[in-house]
Amino acid sequence: MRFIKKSRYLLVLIFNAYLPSSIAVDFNKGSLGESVGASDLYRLVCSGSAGDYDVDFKVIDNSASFLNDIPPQNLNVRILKGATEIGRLKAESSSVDEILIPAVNGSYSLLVDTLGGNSFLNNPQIFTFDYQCRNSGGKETRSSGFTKGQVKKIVDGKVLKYTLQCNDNKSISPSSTQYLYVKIINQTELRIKDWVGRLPILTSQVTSSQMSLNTSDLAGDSLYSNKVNVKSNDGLYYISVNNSAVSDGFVNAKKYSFSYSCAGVAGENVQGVLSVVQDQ
Amino acid sequence: MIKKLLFNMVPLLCSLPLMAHDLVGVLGPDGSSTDYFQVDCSNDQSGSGDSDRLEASIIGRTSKSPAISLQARGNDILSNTSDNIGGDKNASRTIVVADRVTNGRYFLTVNKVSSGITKYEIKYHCMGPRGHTGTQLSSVIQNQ
Repeated sequence: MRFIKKSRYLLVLIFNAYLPSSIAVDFNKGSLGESVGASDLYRLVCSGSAGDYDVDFKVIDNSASFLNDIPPQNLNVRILKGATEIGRLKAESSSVDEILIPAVNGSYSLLVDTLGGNSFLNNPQIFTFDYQCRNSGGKETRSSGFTKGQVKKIVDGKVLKYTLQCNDNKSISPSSTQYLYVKIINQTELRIKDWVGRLPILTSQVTSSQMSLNTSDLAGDSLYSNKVNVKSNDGLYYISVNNSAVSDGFVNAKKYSFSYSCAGVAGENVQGVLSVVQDQ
Repeated sequence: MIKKLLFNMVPLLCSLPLMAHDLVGVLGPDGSSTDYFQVDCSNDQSGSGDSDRLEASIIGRTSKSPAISLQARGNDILSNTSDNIGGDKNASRTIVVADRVTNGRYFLTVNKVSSGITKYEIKYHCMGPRGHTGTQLSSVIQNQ
């Protein structure tokens, strides 16, 4: 039994000795600024091979990997008594805002607009209202107007107007209205695909003295770009990272990561030293 | 068959000189396709003096093609410019690469963001303090 165990151990050692050594993969993180044409430049020096070199490389755009990275769409509500604004709400995509304001019996207007949100996303937004007229003790007085909880839709750039009425509730005391409570629920989900489609595309080039290859990656997922393999006869490479933007803008800013590995002439792992040449 | 043959020949037509310091090329269908050139700047004794920078721009010549980009690299500096709408009359913005040495050597790479055959034209000029200087496309290192 002991002999079998020992033999197995020897077999594993012999087997491993004939396997090619695995290639070490290194990673690097970086970011690009908002200026058009921003490019990061790295120098990669592979050394230790008796002949040519191979570099495997792939890159990932991490810019819109989380919903928090995407500027939301807005719904703004102005609450008016006559021509006087008495309250304001703002609900971003998939969020809620509410307000309790001093009020009296009478008519109120709610004006809804889409100003100030993500200017690249122009899809209609959907929302619902809840509202309540209340007396000084917080009990509900009578209210009428549009249907509470009904799903409504607003086209980007439009303004919608709703009216409601507060009245006495004779069954409570005091019966008259002292407060108005309004809540807006923005049910619009951020359209990640639409947003990503508006972003410049992250591109990266790996260049040696004899060849150059490009690879690109779309934001909004956790997938790397296609891998490129670039050969060199001296081990000196330049890696550049940029994007397809054609004008300045906050959408140009990118967070990215790339992986790289140096291999020698026989496919063996060799050392690669990466240094930053330009950081924009 | 003939159509397929012509399709395969398109990338081979890359890099035909159009006029001085203009270059027409075609990137092949693969998304990683890259053309790679070497440009040498010099004092051509025309009175413009030594060259201190390279100016370059690109325009995509194929409609509905992927966005196309040009990178120009000097010793330790790189600039990038893109043309996102192929087939129109608007070129990318012009990039200026000012190397730390006079009469420098620059490397140009041209690529695109996704697959699809794309024709392009680049303009490149070495410049000095008194105008245009000697500009030589020294090598087509790679033509894909």
